[in-house]
Formats: sequence, structure tokens, C-alpha cells
Amino acid sequence: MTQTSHKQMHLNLNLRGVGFHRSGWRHPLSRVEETITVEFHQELARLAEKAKFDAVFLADSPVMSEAGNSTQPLDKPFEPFVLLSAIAAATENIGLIGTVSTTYYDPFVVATRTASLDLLSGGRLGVNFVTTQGDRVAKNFGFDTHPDYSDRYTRAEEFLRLVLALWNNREPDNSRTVKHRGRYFALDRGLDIARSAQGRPLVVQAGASENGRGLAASYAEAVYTGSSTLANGQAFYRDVKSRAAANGRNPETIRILPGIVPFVGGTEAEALRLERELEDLSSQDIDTIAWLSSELETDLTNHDPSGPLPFDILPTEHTYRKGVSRLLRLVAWAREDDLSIEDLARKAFARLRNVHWTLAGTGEQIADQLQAWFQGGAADGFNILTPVNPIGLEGFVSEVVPILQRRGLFKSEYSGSTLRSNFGLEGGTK
Amino acid sequence: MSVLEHDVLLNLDLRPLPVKGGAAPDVRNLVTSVALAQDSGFASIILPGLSSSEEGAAPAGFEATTAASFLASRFKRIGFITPVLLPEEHPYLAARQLASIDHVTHGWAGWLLSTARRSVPLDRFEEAVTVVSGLWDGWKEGALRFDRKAGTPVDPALVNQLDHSGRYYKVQGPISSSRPPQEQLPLFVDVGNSPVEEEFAAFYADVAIINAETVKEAVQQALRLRNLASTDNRSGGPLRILATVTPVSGSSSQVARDELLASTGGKIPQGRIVLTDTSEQIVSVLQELLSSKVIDGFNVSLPVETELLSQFTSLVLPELRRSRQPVTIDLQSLRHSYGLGKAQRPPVLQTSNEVAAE
Repeated sequence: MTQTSHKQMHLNLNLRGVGFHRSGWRHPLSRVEETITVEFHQELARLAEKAKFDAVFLADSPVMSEAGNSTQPLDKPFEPFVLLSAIAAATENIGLIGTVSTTYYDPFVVATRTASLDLLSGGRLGVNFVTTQGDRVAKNFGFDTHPDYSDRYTRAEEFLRLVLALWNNREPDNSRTVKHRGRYFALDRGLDIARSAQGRPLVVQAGASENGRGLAASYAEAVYTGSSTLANGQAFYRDVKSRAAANGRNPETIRILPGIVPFVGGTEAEALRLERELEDLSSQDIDTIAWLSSELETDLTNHDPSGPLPFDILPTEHTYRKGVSRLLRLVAWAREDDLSIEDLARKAFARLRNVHWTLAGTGEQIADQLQAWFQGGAADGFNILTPVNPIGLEGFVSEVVPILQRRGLFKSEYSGSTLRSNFGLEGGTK
Repeated sequence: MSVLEHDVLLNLDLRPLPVKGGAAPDVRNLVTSVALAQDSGFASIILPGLSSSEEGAAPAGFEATTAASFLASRFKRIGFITPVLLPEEHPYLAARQLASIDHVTHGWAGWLLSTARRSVPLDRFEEAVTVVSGLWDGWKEGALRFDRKAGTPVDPALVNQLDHSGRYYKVQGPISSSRPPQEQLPLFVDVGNSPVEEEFAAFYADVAIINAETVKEAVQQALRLRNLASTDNRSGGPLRILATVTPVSGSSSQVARDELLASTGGKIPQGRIVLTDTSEQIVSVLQELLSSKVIDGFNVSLPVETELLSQFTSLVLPELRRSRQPVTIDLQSLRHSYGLGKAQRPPVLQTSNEVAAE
């Protein structure tokens, strides 16, 4: 039942009603008016379940991104675990992964809510732990600025250990308490919610920085990453798996899932046309270099737009206040493709702050590429970020998934009803 | 949509009883209770919130925000009330979760603050109410435009920051969930015995839940709340008052009492009117409470065994309703089913030290 699972790839649907392309919502077939309804999200999740996706994945940050910007659609109309609970009621097998902020949330609250949904969903929950980014979020929680990078990760590790202790220390009578007095948290209580069919939720992690990788190698059972070329995908994959092995873990027990943005068409030209259409819509009325300046926390407006990025004055991992993965991705992108400031600004902007691997083509072409990454040691599967909904998902499900299934690269039936069984990770509950 | 119902408001309280021990409800148990409650015309259900480390209680089994949303696709004409525990839960997150549940339930979400039995100062509750209701009101009607041609999905002029800065919280906002269907979710307040708690409930609550242990005390407290609510500058519309009861019926009072004790590990739960008697006797006490005219209905709290709830709905409730006038209940939203009228955002709190902590 599980022996085939590591020969088959895993697919998560990164669920965002408005789609992952900045202008996806403007497409005539986008159904953007329904993206604030729970029914639309349930429909997309059911479609993914019909295609045997392993899980739906909800990224999150407790902030209204770009508030005051009239060109930004409402991309997080629901709190993730509330939405996942409604999706749990409308589905049976598909896993449910939601994101929590270790910087702004309370570990006891998180452990309780996630244990509850894990139980209600019959053991289908995964929790993606992130440190969150940006000063705007801090201002919702009484702070002026986002905490420093190393601080964030010290807190993240204490947070994660505490949530794991609360999840794990449950006896059949639910009476065990966790006593803890640490640098950030103090606790003397236990969960009064029973274990689910998969024991406890899966630990998922996102973040490509040094500390993020360290955390993933110690605790994560699945890692969501933003690799954009086969070479850097392979490097990331090797790095995390070898760190896990160095920690005494079996590297086979971590699933590495890069995000991809697929533009699927009946012909290659059709796929490219959709991509181009959306790029054109998005850069019309925006100063993309000013946007990139803010992304890189460096004023680029005084530099020659056709020249290279001023690499020596860019922030480092330790001084950058947003997500370090994004800094690394943008810098790598500029270097590898030898892009000018204006080209990087336009391309990065069009892809919605999105540093994932974008590919356009027929179902066959996209399946070929996924297979190359999967068999080339860059991925155990993928997080699918559809650019427009529902057509982006419909296209992927009808054109790409059947080809992967025919090639034996993706399952045609669920082997169980928990997220742990979908990911073929039944062995390690602790 | 509306139904003809008899004039008594009912809420099912699924929070664990305040007695150590006892079984935790499982998923089937939860679904059965909600189905029984909806089918017998309960207006709402209070789901278990985070357990407070200060109280001894039976295991909760579930947590409210996840359970409400999970149950909502199946039960469409009953309200789901989520307790918010201060100080553990931050108002920014609470506002976002509650707004999301109101969207998922299409206007059947409420929230609950328990001022009783906690060492949290009352002005912290007041400030949390100000922040949460202000964040909900940050999204004005018509803010979502979805204008593909112009490239403007939202009108930023109708999405306001809160910029709250008070004694306990500093919150910029806005939240990323649009205006809740009910605009302001009904606020339930669990009232303790102190005068400041009664003032808080009379001013802010849409539905006040009384935790007195005798009929006399319950009626007296309801009277005090009504007086405060009429003299005070009350922030909302009408105040609804529910008395918490634990009704267990049996062939005799001894049989009923034994049945209750069997499910609570031998302890009588406090903070409610415990009625262990024949169904006729229970009906007569409930009628007495209603005939005071200051109590609108009951917050029914029972041990997890669903047989006790079905005894109440099949033996006690029909008899009680026979004595009440039929009224029309509007089933558009939770606010409507409680007859609360149009939502109003409470006045912005001027932070001060006026309200002393207990």
C-alpha cells in the first residue's frame, strides 16, 4: 500500500480563490465574484479530490496585504483553519494544510484548534509553521516592527516544540499536562481533545533560509519551497535531506514539494497566449521598479533601469525584514538569467510576488517537466499554484493529471483516508 | 424564511460542565446533539472554547472555531457561538476568525465573552469588544467591486484601518475578511455576580447568560440587568436574557438526581439552576422563570450523553411550549432569530481607569 508511494509524486493544491497570477482575477473566466464564498472553495477542493490530490494547502499571513491598494484582490477572505474546517465537511480523503505564524500566535491556542480540526476531519490535517514577514503584520499585534530574523527562529523552534509536546502528550483519558517555562512561553496545561486517526497533524514547513532549512530538517514531514530551476531545486533537495540525515532522521520521511505555476493549454501556443495575456494586464498602471525597490528594501529608482542590480548594497539574510526566501529567489533570478533591473521588476511583478517556477505548455509538456524534476532528485511532488480559478485547476486536472497517472507517476486512488497515508508517512507518528 | 414557534428562546450550551471527569464528546455525539437542537427549535449552540487553565472542567472534546465551520454545511438554521478567551486570544485574530465563521455560516455566527470566574479586568473585555467590532466595521458596504475592466477589485476608500491604541491593545487593521453578513455578530455574555460584570453585560451584550443557582436569584439578576439596560446608554438593540439550567427528568426526583450524578462523577455542577425532577415539575419551574417577564429563555447545559438532551426535547419542551404564545421567528440570520434588530457598532471606548477590576 505504501511501498509505491515514494515512486509516485505528491500533489498539493495551493488554494487561493483569486489565483496566483496578479491579474488572474481579471480573466473573463475567473469567477472572482465567488472567491469570497465558502462554496467556491469547497468546489475547488472537491475537484482536487476527484483528481486524487494529496492535500489542499492554504498559505497565510495575519494581515490585509497591500491594504489601500485598489489593484489587489482579496486573496485571503477566510481565516485558514475556519475555511479548512468547511472543506473538511465537504470532502473525504483530501488532506488539509493550513498555515500558522509562530511569531504572532499562541502555541496553546494553535495546538487546541489544530487538534480539533485534525479530529473532526478524521486525521487529515497538516500545519505549516512559518515565521511571517513584514512590519505591517507587526502593527496588528502591538509592535512597530517585525522581530529580527534570528529572534524569529528561536521563537519558532520553541513554539514548534511546545505544539508537538501538546499534540503528543495525550493519553486516552486526555489528562496529561505539559509543563514548560522557556524564553518565550510558559505553560502548565494539556489538551482535552482526543487523538485523530493519524495520531497528530503533520508538520509542514516553508522557508528556504538557513534557519528555515534547519527547522525543516529537524521537524518537518513536508517542506514547501520556491525553487525555480532544476539545478537549484536539486541543490535544495539534497541540502534538506542531508541535514535531516545528519539529525538522525530517515531522509525518506520528509516530502519536498516545490511550488509551480502551470499555464496549461490544448496547444503550447494557447498556453503561452494565456500567460502573455495576464502579464500584459498586470504591468499596465504600476511603477514596477518602485515595487521592486520595496521588495528588496533598496531604492533602485536612482539606478540605470537597463543595468544590473546593485548586488553589493542589497540587504542580507540578517537585515532583510520580509521572507528571506524571497530575497534569495529574486537575487538568484537576477544573477542566473542576467536580468536588468527593469526586466526583473516586470517579470517578478507580473508573477504576483511569486518566485515559483512558472511553466507553460500542453499537458504532455508539463508532465514531462514534472517527471524530470521528480526523477532528477529535485522534488517528491509539487504544490500547484493555479494562476486563474477555476480554469487553471480544471486545465491541470484534465490535461496534466491523467498523463501523470498513465505514466504511473501519480496515484489513481487514495490508499487511506488520512493525510499521513496520502503522503505515505504512516511509519513515524512521533 | 420564517417559522411559527413558541415564545421561548433556547440555546444549547456544549461547553463542558464545570466538574472534573466525565467523558469527552466524540464527533457522532457532537453531530447528534446539534441535530437534536436544530430539530427542536433551539436558536443557537455555544461550542466549547479554549479550556481555561483556571477552572476544573470535563474534557471539551472540540474547539469552537473549527467545529462551527465544520458543522455549518449541515445545519443551516441554528447559530454557532464561539467563546473568546481573554487574554490568550488576540482580538485581531478573534475578529478575523469570527468574521470568517459568519461568512461560512451565512450569518449564523455569534461570540461569547465569559467575564465570570476569570482574573481578567473588565476594561480589557471592553477594549477587546471595541477592537473586534471596529475591525468588522473596517470593511464598508460596497468595498468589493470586482471591476475587471478598470483593474480594481476593491475600493480602498471603503476599507479602513482601525489604528486603535489603548491600554491593552494596539491594532492597525484592517482584517482580510470582508464585512460579515450580520455586520456585527451578536455578543453573548456569561454574567457573574459582581455589579461591574452586570454593567458590562447590560451595556454590551445582545444576549446575557445568567448563571444564578436558584429561581429567585435568577429573576433578581435579570431584573437588575433590565434596569441597568434601560437607564444605561445601552450600545445595542433589545437585551435578551437566558437563564442557565441543567434539566434532568426522571420518574421521581431521586431517579433524576441519580441519573445526573451518574454522568458527572457524583458532583452537582455549579453556576446554573439544576432541575432533577419529573418532567411536570421541571416544566413548572421553567414556566415560573418565564412568567417573571424578565427572562426570555434558557441556556440548556447537560452532560455529554445525548439521551439527556433527547429526554429534554421530547418530554419537557413540548409541554413547556404548550403554555406559550406562538410567535413568528425570522430565520434570515442569528440576529433575526433572536429578534435583535439592526446591528450597531458599540461606541468607541475612551480608554480610562473608570471600571475597576474585581
